[in-house]
Amino acid sequence: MMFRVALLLILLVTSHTTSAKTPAEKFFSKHGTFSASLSPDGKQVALIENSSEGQKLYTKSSASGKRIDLLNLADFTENNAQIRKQVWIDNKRIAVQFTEIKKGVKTLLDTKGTSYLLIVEVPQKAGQTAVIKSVRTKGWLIDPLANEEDKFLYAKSGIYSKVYQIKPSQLSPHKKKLNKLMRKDGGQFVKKNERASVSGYATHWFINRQGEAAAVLYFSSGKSMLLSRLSDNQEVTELKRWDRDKIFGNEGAEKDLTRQLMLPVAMGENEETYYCLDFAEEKERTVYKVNFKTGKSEVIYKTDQYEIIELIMSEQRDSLIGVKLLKDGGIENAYLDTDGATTKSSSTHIADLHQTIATSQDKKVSLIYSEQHNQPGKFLIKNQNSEKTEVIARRYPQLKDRLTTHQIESSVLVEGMEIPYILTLPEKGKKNLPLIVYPHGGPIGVFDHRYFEASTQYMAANGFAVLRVNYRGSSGHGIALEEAGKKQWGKLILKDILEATKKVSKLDEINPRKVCIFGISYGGYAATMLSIKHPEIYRCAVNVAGVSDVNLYLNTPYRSDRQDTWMKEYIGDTEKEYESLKKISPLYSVRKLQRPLLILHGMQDEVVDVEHAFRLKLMLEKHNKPFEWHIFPDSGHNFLANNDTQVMYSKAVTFIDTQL
Amino acid sequence: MKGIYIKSGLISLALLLTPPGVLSAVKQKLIKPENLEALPNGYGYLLIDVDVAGIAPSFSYVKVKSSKKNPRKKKKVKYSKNGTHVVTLKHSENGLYALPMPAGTYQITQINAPFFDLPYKLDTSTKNEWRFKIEAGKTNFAGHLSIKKERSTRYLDVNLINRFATEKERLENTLQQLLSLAPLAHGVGVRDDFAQALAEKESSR
Repeated sequence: MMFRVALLLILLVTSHTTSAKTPAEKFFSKHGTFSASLSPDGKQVALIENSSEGQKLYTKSSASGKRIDLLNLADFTENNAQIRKQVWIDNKRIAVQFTEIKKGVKTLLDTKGTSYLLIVEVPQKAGQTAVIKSVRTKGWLIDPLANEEDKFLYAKSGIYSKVYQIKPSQLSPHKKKLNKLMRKDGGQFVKKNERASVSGYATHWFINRQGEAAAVLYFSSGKSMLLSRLSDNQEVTELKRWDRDKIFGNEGAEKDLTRQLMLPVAMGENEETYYCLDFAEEKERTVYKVNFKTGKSEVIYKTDQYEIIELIMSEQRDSLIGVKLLKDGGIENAYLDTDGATTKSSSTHIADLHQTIATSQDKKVSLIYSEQHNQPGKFLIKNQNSEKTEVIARRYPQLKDRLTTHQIESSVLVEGMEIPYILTLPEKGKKNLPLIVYPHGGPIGVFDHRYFEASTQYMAANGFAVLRVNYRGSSGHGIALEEAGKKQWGKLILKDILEATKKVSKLDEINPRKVCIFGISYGGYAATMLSIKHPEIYRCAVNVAGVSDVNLYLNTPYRSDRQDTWMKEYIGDTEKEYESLKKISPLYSVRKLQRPLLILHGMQDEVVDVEHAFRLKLMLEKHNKPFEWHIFPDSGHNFLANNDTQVMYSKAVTFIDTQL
Repeated sequence: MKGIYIKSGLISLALLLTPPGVLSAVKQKLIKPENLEALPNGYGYLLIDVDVAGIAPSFSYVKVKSSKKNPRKKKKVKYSKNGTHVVTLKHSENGLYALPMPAGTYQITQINAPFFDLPYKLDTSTKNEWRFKIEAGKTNFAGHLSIKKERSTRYLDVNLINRFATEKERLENTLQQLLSLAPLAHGVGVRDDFAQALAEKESSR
């Protein structure tokens, strides 16, 4: 069951008339290049950007930086479309996995989506335009065979599933009507082009470094899903078997709410080790590395609120370098820090994420993704001969220059546990700065990273020091810290934030009389609770999409049985622990509030229902407590509608500025 | 002729497989607040904000005899012998609707939202957020019932959302006459102290 809220009413009560000094547009614009790939010869880079006109595919010369636009989705289709993936097949062609929403049965959502593979032929001479072809046979690209010209591997699934080697030169232009002499896809889906096959419906083929199908994940004719290795002579050896009914939750699986369903999505360093996603998660947010022979597994990557839709592997295809995330309504690449998220011992080092995405066949040209805490992500071309590195595209084109911010990483000991935090200063050497304490949401299994974080940089650009605390319950710093957050919503998690605030407030850089707290979701809850409990520390609070009634939150209709079980274990049981959960709810403590409070909430919020904001408002009114508030009629939990992200941050920073 | 046999066969089969409660279901229709009649003794109004789409949506409910059991644990919940009631949600317009009902706690057990040849049915019998309670002499607001128009072949969005604070002002403004006769009460079926806490504060001021 999927849950959604309908719009009830629109209330716009109080709004700020002033705005923050540094405009939010610079930090929260949705425009910029988010995906890049290098041609095998290293001469061109294919890039996808979001612009005001929509998504565009273009190339840039790695030597001159000359840009050629290949595909503008707004011109290509009237339907709502998206490029999910782009990869070079050879030096002349780019394969683009393309999806579009077509008109289907009225109001029936899943009759409308179509996905197909486009082959974009890059113009080789001036004045030429890109030729766009497509594969008409249903299936998907499994390997571009980029080291071999005019070849790629394409999978087709059915009772028997097969892998074919296809020549893109023999395909027809997209949507071109075929005459009687022309065969669909050049008649290439025949036995002689078959490279692998399996009896059953294949969902994933795993390709080794030699470009051969080495393993396959498929449904057998029985009641099983299998992961099997394929030998050179096409022999199939079973590696792992899953019960099909358990996968689909048909037979007793729903009762096992703590189960995991780790299915492989990429092969690791050998044919027994795979990178897996847990498909029993509500949304796939964790990458595991699993050896299916030994059963050993470890967490490799975890994201907070976004869904992982694909893994990005190293050129050698044996290690994970990033993930594709479904973020802010689009697809974004997030590259991994190979050092992990663990806090480093040095307190003031520059957080530097530097990842080689691809290297040309001759090893002379590399494509690199780079990001620091004060430098938004950029794609770089490095020429190994000249040692020269040039920027080829940026994630935030409006933030070209390195920002002046200075970052300090440290920790504070609270109840026997080291609590890591990150303090961002507008610039090094400044003293007596106003401080915004900015606890993250979650609170379990989420963490603040040390790299570029737009909202932190926005607040710093407006003259504030920003403190982000990886309190107990946060991920990225080990299991012990994460598990310590269990049932600590209104208890030790708040203490961790408070103690970090106290420690940081003693620094010369911070003015302890100018401290406000601002948070979103759980952070909004923490901001309200801490401002109620510690008015001597926090001069004001901003509660964005925050929980005000913990029992109401636990009784939310927007949850599955699995989430319900998790919530009972990590937050509390509303039936057995109603009173204690009521005690930690800001709603029932607002009479003690002494500091100004700003409430911001999206009417369409399906994570923390807008009822939380209305309850808080009514209680504040009853107690004659001053507050300001704003309801965003079109936005949900992430404030993605219209330009609500910008407006939300601008309102928060302006409010804090006014209070301090 | 052959076709008719098949049809009647299917209907017979359907009758054999249908639970007895459904066969004896009492059909009801929600009433616009302005058309309500005076409450009999021991009755209260169920008030619900309906926002539904589809061909002929409806929900079924039963009276809960014992509310001590936790439905989420899937333990047996005792239902009233009066059986199942089916409330049609086929209205010309969405908005506030009411239904006079005997005081007690009720469980919405099933949502029906057929869509052409897709027989959507959602079993809500084990979910405590699908409960509501009726206090005699009160207008008991159970929340916002939404059945989304857009759906996929395997699921649809159905929610009963606890929106007492969100709607309080609107209800008080638009239902003045009704609320003067049967004051507004929070009609959710799970423990929720908010309305009481709000009222306490009002009286203590």
